[in-house]
Order: sequence, then structure tokens, then C-alpha cells
Amino acid sequence: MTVKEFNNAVREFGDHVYRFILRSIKDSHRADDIVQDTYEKLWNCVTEIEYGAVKSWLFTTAYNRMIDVIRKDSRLVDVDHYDDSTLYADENSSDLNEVLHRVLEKLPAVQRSVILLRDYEGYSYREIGEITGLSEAQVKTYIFRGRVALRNYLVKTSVWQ
Amino acid sequence: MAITEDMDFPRLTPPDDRMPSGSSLFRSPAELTDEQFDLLAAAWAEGALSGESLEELESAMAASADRRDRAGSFCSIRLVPCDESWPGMRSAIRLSPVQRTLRRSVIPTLLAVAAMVSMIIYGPTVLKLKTINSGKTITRSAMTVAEIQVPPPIVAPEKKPATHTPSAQVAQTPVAEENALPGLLAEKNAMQNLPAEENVLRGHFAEVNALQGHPAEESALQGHFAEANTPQGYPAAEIQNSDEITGFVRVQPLALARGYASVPSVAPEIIPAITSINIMDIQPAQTLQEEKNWIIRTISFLASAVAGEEKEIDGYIIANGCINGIKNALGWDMELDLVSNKSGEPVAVTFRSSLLSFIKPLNKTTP
Repeated sequence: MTVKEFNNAVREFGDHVYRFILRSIKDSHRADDIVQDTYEKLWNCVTEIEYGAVKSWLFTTAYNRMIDVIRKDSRLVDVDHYDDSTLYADENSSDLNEVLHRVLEKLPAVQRSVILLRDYEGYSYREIGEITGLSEAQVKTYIFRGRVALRNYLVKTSVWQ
Repeated sequence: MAITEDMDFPRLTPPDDRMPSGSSLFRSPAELTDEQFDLLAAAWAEGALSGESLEELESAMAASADRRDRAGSFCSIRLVPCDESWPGMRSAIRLSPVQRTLRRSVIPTLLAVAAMVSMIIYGPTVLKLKTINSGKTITRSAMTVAEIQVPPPIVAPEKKPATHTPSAQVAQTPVAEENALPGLLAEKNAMQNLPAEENVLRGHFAEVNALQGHPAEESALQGHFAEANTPQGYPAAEIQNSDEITGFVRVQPLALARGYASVPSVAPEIIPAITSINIMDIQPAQTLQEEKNWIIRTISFLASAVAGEEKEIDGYIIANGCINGIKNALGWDMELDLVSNKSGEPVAVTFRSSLLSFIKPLNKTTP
């Protein structure tokens, strides 16, 4: 990959990776740091990576870095122990996408990540599996369970009757 | 004897027993629980079902309108990306060598040159405007001792009968003049060959001595001063102009400030306006200091123009800004502090770093 291609990768995929990480950990500063680290790693091995594979490489590296950060972060909240009362304040919101993003934060990190990769980037199950290190069957299971959890939250918070 | 697999042992044959209620275990798609149905519906909404799975789900949906709606709701659970953008994108883009050279060397150099040129060109002009219009100093129309920077020293005319000049005083005191003239004439000749500033100082010192212990010589010395400067002085008509007359006042502030002389004795009727001025209200030192530090004044002017409000910048602020900038940019541990006395006046500057620490006392002219 050339420097020009590296810069193209920054312009073309930078926002995508940032969005994915930001929505996964909900911390703009950490998301910025993770994406910066990811591109720094890419620059360090810029000659070894083909431009065609760079998007998948970026998401994989950023995801792994994010997992490291999450493991170090004791503030991670498990969905099963989350206080649902905070959701009821949002029940009047009319923007479904906005509500979905808020509810998404209640899902476990892995479910959140695979759903984001699926919906934001349109990755296939196999590609998501390569990025996250999961099998295709595991990816499917996480996505389907995540969708059900999202729907159940929406119903539970009276957004959907 | 070793036992091998091909040895002929008796073997058990499974009986033909049947589970009596086996048929009750069969399930139809309609019997899927809600959780099971939701998972299938989620997969169906993803387009991940095919073959028998799809058929079974469709049959379940056909059996119940409620489940059909429930499955349809999964189709709307899709996240749409928001418009967040990565704030660090610009810093991640790598510059080409030409761009890097341009950004790191040429542009800062040009900016620095432009700043220096503008400071050199406009700095003194801005200073003058500031000095005249600051309000703390006295405007030109009310020119006083404070504006002693008027370059040419001006003296009273050699002969000006219409006004009461020092030379007129000399004429009115012939005895004193006779006593003073022998020495003064020699001094006058010497002073005529000196630059104007030296003339002023010499006149001043002579005057101080006279005012301290020789009242009788006071008028003579003033006359001497006037005479000594007469060859370089202005026409008598210009003496009437208060703007020009300040050159005469130029020699007086030290004597006034040190209490050697009072204003009327130093500048009698020749400048009536000056006698009403309190010497303590005048700040010649500040004016000179501002004149000296016009670069800082220019920076203050630029800072005020940028901020839209009056900004007083001094050397400490500039130095502290530089220290903090280096500290933040390079991570070096160093601090610059201002030490003040009990009355709050800054008396010293301390600098601390891992390699060097010092204290520099501030003198009174340090901005």
C-alpha cells in the first residue's frame, strides 16, 4: 500500500471505524484513541498490507484494541444487571433510530459489535467472523439474539406496544 | 490367553420395544415458543433462513396474525449510521515530503517574517498613538513636563522684554550676574560645543547646585542656562507657543522630582500653565518605559485587536506562555513563577526545571 493509498484509507474508512468504535464503547475520547492507534499500526506495516484488504484489517485491529480497552475498563456494565429504569425516560422519543442506538448500549459488547458491523458496514457473517474472531455460526447467533434483545427492550419500554 | 475381538462370545440383540407416547413428542411450527419464534423471525428478517426453516416459519406466521406482525417488527430493527465524523482524521493523514517541508518550515518562516516586518513598521506608530491617547499621559495640547521626549531643547530668547524670562531676571540682578558671569561664560563656551543633551544635563547639574545652597545664584544660573542654549534655541515668537516651549521644561524634571526646586522657581511666568500641574501626577518614567518596550506594546495591541478587549501583555506573560507551550508540546517539566512582595508587587521571577533552576530579581524598568 502506498502513502497515497494510506491517506485514502484514512479518508474513506476513518469515519466508519470511528463510528463503529464510538457506538461500541460510547466514549468519544477512547474511540478517537483507538482509531488513532489503529491507523498508527497500519502506518507501521503500511507496506505489508494490500489496499483491498485494508478495510477489514482496520475493523479487525480496531475491534481487538477495543476489546483490550473494555477488558481493562471496570466500568463495563452487563446487560443483565442494567437498570432498565433509565430507558423509560426515553419512551417519548419518536425517532426509532435514536432509540435503537440508546438501547444498543444495553447489549453486551460482542452483540453490539456484530450488529454494528452488520448494519453499519453491511458485512457478511463470514466477514464479521473474521473481524471478531468468531465462527460464522456464532456471529449469526449473536446477531439474532441481539435483534431479539433490541426488540424486547423496545417493547418493554413501551416504544412498541 | 489373550482376548481378541474376533473371538466368539455371546452377543445381545436389542428387543423390539416401542415408546408408547412417542407420537406426542412431535411438534408443529405453530407450537414454537415465542422465544424460538423470535429467533427464527430475526433470522428471517436478516434473510438468513432458507429451505425447511423458511417454510416452517412461514407456516407459523400463517397460523397466527399476531406472530406475523411480531415477525414483521424485526424488519424495522435496523441501525442507520449517524453522522459522527472522526475528529482525528486530519492528524492521521500523512504528508508528502514536499508538503511536510512547506508546512513545517516555509509557512512558519514566512509568518514570522511577516510578523517581524509588521512589528517593525507599525510598532512605533502604534506606540505613539497609544502614548498620546492613553489618557494617563497628557495630550499635546496640554503639553507638560511629562512629554519631555520632544527632541530639541528650547530656551528662552536672549532678549525678550515683553515677558519675564530668566535672562530678564539676570538683567534685573546685576550683582548676581557679575558674580556668576566669569565662570559661566567659560562654561557657556564649552557647552556650546556639546550636543544638546549634554547641554541640558550640564545646565541641570549647575542648576541643582545653585538651588541647593546658593539662592542668590539661582536666577543667574537660569540665565546662564538660557544663554548657553540660545545659539541653538528658537525664535522668541515660538516661545509663546506652549507646544514648543516644552523643550525648556525638558531640563527640569529631575530637579523637580528630587525636591531641589519648585515648579514656579524652575519655570516661572514663562509657562503659566505648568505651575498648576502637580508633579506627582506625571509619569515620565512610565512613558519612557512604554517607549522602550514598543514590541511588547505591539503584542498587547495585537492581542487586544484579536480578543476584542483591552489586553495588557508583559514580558512575564509572554515568557510564561512560551514555557507552557514547550511544556505541553514536549512534555518537559518546567515552571515559571512570579514572586511578589507583601504589597503584591512583583519582585522576582523563578524558573524551575529538572536541569536548571534560578531566581531573577526584577528591576523597576522590567516590564
